[in-house]
Amino acid sequence: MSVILNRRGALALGMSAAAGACAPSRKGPEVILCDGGSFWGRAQRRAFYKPFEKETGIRVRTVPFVMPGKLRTSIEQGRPVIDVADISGAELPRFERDGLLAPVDLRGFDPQDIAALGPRKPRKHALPSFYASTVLAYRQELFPGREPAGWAAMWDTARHPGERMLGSGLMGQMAATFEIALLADGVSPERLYPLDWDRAIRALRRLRPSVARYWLSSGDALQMLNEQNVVIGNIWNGPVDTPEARDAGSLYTWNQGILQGGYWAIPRGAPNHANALRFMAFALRPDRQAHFASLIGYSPANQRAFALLPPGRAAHLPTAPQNLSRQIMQDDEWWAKEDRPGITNVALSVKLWETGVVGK
Amino acid sequence: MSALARNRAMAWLACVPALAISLGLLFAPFALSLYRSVAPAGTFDLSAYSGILDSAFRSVLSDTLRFAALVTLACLLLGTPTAYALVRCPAWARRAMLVAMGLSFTIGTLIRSYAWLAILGSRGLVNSALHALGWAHPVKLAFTDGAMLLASVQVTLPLFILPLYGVMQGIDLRVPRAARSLGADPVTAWFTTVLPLALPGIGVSCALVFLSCLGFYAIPTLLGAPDSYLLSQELEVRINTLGDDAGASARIVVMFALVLLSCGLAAMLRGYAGRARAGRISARVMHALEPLARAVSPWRWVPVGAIFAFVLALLLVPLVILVPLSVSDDFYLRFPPRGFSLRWMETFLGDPDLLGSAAFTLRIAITSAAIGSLAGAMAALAALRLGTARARLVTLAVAAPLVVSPITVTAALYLVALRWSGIEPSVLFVAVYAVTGLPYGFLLVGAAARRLDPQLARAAATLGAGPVATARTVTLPLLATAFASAFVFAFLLAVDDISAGLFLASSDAMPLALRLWEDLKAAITPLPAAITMLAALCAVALYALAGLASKLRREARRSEPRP
Repeated sequence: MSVILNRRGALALGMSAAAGACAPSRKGPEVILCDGGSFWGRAQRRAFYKPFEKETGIRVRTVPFVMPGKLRTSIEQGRPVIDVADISGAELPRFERDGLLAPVDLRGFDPQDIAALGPRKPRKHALPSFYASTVLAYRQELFPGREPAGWAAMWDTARHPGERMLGSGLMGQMAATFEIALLADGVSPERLYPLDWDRAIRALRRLRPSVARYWLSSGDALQMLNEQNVVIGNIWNGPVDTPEARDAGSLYTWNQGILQGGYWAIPRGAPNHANALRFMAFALRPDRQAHFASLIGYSPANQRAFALLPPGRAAHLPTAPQNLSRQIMQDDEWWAKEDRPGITNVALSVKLWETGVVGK
Repeated sequence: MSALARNRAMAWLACVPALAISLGLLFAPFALSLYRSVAPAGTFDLSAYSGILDSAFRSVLSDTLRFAALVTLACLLLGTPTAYALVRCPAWARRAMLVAMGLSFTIGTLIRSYAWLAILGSRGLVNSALHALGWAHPVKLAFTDGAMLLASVQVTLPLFILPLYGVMQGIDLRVPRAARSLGADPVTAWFTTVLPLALPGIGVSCALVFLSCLGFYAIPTLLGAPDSYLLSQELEVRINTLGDDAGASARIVVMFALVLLSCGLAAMLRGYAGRARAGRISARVMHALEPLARAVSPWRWVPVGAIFAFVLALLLVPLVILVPLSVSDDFYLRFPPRGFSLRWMETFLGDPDLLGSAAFTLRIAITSAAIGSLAGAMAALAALRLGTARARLVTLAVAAPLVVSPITVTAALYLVALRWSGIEPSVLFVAVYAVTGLPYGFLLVGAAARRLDPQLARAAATLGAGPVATARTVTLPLLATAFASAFVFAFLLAVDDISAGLFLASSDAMPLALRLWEDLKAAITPLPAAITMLAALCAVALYALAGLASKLRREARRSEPRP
């Protein structure tokens, strides 16, 4: 064993020497955070990252959104790629179970902020970050003067002809692709979970001939809709609730929107653990949360922020009471379950998508 | 130790860096992938492979093979006449084509795929032209199989044509002339003499194109139809989304086996369809078609010229379109741009993240290209002194990365590197691109060394130069051009690649291409065009400076007093 270690050591040493010039010089405290790109990234930078740098002197470095597999691998490897990970409620239980996250030390937080977290509550290893909704978006000329009642309109290619876009099932539950298909097929919201895979795949296959793009990023999706490549489709409410979208004639409805909650968690072995905690306490402050929610239509996790919002802004946010009742909460617990041994429903959905929808 | 044995020992020693890179960073990770695919938890378990059978892998594989075959076929039909025409055409046309291919290599795959979006997108070149002509709705051109195919053919054509052009140059044109003097019409003469002679070269070009298509990631993701889903995309989902190490390992093994199988098949075909046999078959076919061949002979240059012009346009259009886009004032990509502005160039120059990524890319690309091409060149020179059988073994080991796509190399290395915590990501980047750069040093310097006249070294020796002086003053200067081009190839490959970054990137180690890729996934803006244009301007300035410097040096030397 020692021989192997030595060889590895020697190889690593040799390669390090070879790449010596490549190692960037580190100076000063820093924290590595996610830049979600496009509208989300812009709001993150303006509401959280720039003010945080200014107030604390800690430099924020960013990486693009880290997919769960890569995040898991990097933590297991002992080199987490990020200090504060954005994890969906559906992935979180498995990360917690496998001991990949550090417990959140709440001593540096304002207890009032922690008490005001809702509707989702803080967990031992993660705190709620924001709420988004996967909504039905459409070209204004498709529904003149009224809103569609739900996802059935997207599947009704006879009454509303034109090409569609749909969040790719390769992202698992992230774009609520499977829930949408079932709701469109007539499943009632109360009986949505457990998802009927066969029925969902059948509905998705039925729509397939009309789909111009299975999107993987909301920026791409918005561009498809704004440029009239598609007339209707699902998208996260943030990007489609912007002046750019309205000017281009892209609208959306809260009806049957799928409400999704995100979490912030610190990976075990994160390179800047203390700074990560400081960032989370900073970003959960009501003023920062309100600033974020005024830049993009994602709800604050800290409910104290609602009082600080500009008048009328709450109508653009998914957890505002008048909007909440029109949407359906995504069932994280169900998505995290292993209904088939060793494979979560998230992973299963990716595989079913691969064999049932994109497979020819 | 005899002189011969010492010589041979020295030769093996010179092969050590290349063999270490290839065996340690390519073959060993593949071997470990094999191990981990059959024993994911330490005990023998084939569930990863039964998982492959249950999954979409088979349809993904057949789609990928069909796609690669179609691209190869298109390259064959377009590239073969073009390569031949390059030998026979007027000098200005040759120069234009070579410049177009050189530029294509320099600009890289990612930017060229992006340029296709600017041409085929709903606000692109074609659709805005159609709109001007009165079309009400944009025609769907991007996000189709056709767009994916077109972009892939454009990207791979230089890869097909350049090696084949070298082969065509080597064909003695007196052979077809002899055939014509014996009464064959020009078409028959070409098919019965030039084609069989070029056949091995055509085979190599086809293999290169086919194998590189197996690893395509950016083009299908950016331009493909909604249901297009190829091997690299499926592998990326295994690793980045699902974190399924065993499944990913099994796929890496299958992809590696596929490459080995294709290479074996190509070698077998080559053995079967030797030049003599191909000549005989071709003669029999042409005999049957003779009246037709005679009838079309006077017009033979029309299709060849048309194909040549089409290829030239295909190569140039995506490059030319980058120029107006780079100074676009629009937020999104549209054609024609609505206003002139340098804002996207300013965006790049004012963004520390983008600049940091550019610096990182330069660092890893230069380091890895230097390591890869140097190790490859040393092995190439050494292989000339080894026996045929040993040289073949070295060739197999060192040239292998040429046929394995970077995404497979990276995935294998990444899954292995999981077990070695503590390695800097930048080191892994350098490792990947040292592997992919290795074959260029080996093949290009090897070819140049074989062309070298051994008399020159002997002449230096008779004039009293020792082996070191001979190498310094005669051999190495003659090989410098080959080494420089190997370095440039390896460097460009590292700059252009996004597949390694998909797995390896972190905040310290974020190549520029990957940052652009993330931006492109979110919104198609003029930024990549602006960065490309800035890089091109820098390259032109450097080139001009180098030219100026060498001119000054020549003049200085001329004005020196002679002894």
